[in-house]
Amino acid sequence: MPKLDELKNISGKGHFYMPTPKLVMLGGLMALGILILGGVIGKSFVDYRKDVLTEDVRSRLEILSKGRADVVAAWLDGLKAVGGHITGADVVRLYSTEISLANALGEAGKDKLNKSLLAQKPYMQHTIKEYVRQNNLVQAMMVSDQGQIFLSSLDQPQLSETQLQGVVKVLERRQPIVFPAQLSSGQLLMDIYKPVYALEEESKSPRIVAVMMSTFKVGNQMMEMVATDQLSLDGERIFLMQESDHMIENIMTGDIPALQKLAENALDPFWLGNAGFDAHESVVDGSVVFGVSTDVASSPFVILHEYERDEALYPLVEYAQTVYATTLMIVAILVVSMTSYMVYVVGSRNRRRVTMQQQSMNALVRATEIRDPYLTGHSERVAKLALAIANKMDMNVAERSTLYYAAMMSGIGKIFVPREILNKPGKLLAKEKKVLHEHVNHALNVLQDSNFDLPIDEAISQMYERLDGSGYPNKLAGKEINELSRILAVCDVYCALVQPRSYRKEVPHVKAMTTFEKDADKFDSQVVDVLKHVVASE
Amino acid sequence: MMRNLLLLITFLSFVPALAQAQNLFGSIEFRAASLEALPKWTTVLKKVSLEQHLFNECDENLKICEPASLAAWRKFIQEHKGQVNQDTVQALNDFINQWGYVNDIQNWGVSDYWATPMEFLNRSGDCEDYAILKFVALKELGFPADNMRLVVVQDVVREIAHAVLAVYLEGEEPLIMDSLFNVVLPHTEVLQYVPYYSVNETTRWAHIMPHRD
Repeated sequence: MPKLDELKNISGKGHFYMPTPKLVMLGGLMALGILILGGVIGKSFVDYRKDVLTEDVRSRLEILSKGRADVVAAWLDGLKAVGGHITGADVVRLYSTEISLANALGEAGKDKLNKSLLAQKPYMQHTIKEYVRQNNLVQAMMVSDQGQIFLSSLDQPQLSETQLQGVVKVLERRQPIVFPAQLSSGQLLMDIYKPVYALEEESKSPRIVAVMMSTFKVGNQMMEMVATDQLSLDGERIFLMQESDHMIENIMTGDIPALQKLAENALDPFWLGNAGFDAHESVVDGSVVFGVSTDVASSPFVILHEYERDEALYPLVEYAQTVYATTLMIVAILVVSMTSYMVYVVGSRNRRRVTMQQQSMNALVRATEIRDPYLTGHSERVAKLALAIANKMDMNVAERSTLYYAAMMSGIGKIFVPREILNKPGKLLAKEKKVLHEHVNHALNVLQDSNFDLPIDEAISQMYERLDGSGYPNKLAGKEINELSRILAVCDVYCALVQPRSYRKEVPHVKAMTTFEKDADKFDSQVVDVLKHVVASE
Repeated sequence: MMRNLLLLITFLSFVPALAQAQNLFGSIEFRAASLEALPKWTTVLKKVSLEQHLFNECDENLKICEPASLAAWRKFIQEHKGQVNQDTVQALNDFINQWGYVNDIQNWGVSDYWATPMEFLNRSGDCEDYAILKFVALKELGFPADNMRLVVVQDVVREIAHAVLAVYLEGEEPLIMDSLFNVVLPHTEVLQYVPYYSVNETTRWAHIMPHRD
């Protein structure tokens, strides 16, 4: 229920009140709640899409990376097969076996072979040279199982420590080995070592008597390995990397090839393992990418397939915009619908409330009517007069309604006052006055539990106070008395004066006004002035 | 196929060849009296000498000789003893080529096994097994072992390794006894083989094809 001092602020057409700030706040909170909920739902859609998109990226990269690794493996298989005509040729195997044996044989044995081997050597050398020429190799050589070069395409061949260790590796692993690419004179070169088997029973795992080393120029082919094709998307990159000396190296093909050295575990984030798939910093240039790396089987090489994160998730941007726009639209529709509904409900509740309150008030007024018709007539007259004054003072609906109902129900309390006291013509005794003055409390008691949405009880409780403090029940003075009660006070007294009583005739208007002048310190002079005007215009 | 032929020929080629006589299949030969690097061959030779008594026993009584293939072979030997000439060689090739080809994986479960005469007579075999039996047979017929060689070649048409027996009759170009082809031809008329090495009981030859212009 609004307080008296709030009445001035209340406006409205025929309603006692519009939704209170509390209700507005509630509405606002709900709207905010819906907005947040909408945001959360929207975000979950976007997140889900992001997950789907990321998963798509993962499987695409996995397939492409593996595919490219298979291409590299096939290329390497082809290279490993080069020279098979030589390592598998029985005459070469015989020669290599005899070279290897020559050391182990005694003088006699060596003697028998050496002449033939010596005579054969230039032809074998020529063979190697032809092989190098035919396959556009850099060089090739045959190294015995004792680590001696016995055939070479170069006139002055050299065997480095690393190369010797490579020979040992082949002897151990018994299969062709591809070595990491090296840079030499601005070219990318790669060695492949192939075993040469003795002419022995193959089932007995024949001895390896020699290793053929072929050095390939691989720059151009490696460039093709990492080339993107029509199926590639913007932002996709492919890298060929190799493990060399416990480091990862990025093979940079191009006009000036290079080997970019990376940490041993540089590719770890890009292994598909148990950890979730996510974007990481590229090892090559630090941009944020999704990536999958795949080992190329039986080789030191690794394919790294990258996809720039922003490119990959680009469809998400548009999707997110759509989702949030839709969510916003839905939220707006919801909020507007809810608000209109609330306003409608509140409005109709208001109307019902007002109606019910009016009905209750009317019932109470009728109760006093039945008890004392004089009181009723008086209350009505006071109400009318108060309204007229209120109109003249440009008061709002709430104020006028309060005045009206306060005036109408001001007499409720007097029901409980004995008639003899009420209608006593002469001055009242002190104890009679006390009983009479109780009527305010009675009225308040009756109205206590009623919730009329108007400060009717306040208005009634102060209308018998006087500006000079001579009123009752609380002897309020001056500003303590609210405006409405001042109006009611004037009206109540005026109507009582101009109404004939059993014990006196009606007091004429002019004389009544004089009374107010005489008691100017009791009554609001402004209200009295308005009263003058109101009565004059009737 | 042509590429392989070229590849192989160039691989085994040598520019300005020696003016010397070119030998088997037109190759350049390097001989050494050492069989150290050829254990498969030396093993077979040993096993053959161990089987000799079986041949002798069979010879003594052909009628009860078992198995029948051994008996048939000994019969052939007995019928053709005497001077070995081109006809004999041809007849022998026809005879032994009757045995059907069985590859080593099927026969022995390994990729390359050199069978003894008894093993071949019982189970048949592949190219070198024919050559081995022909070698032993010619020896039995009295032909000098020094004038024969088992030759391991690359068949450039079929792109696989192969083995034949080269028979050097007096004053003639060596004849080729091939398991794939009954007709015995001089090596000059057999064009699809590039020799790797050849071998007999005492000697091995390494072969390189000269560059053909």
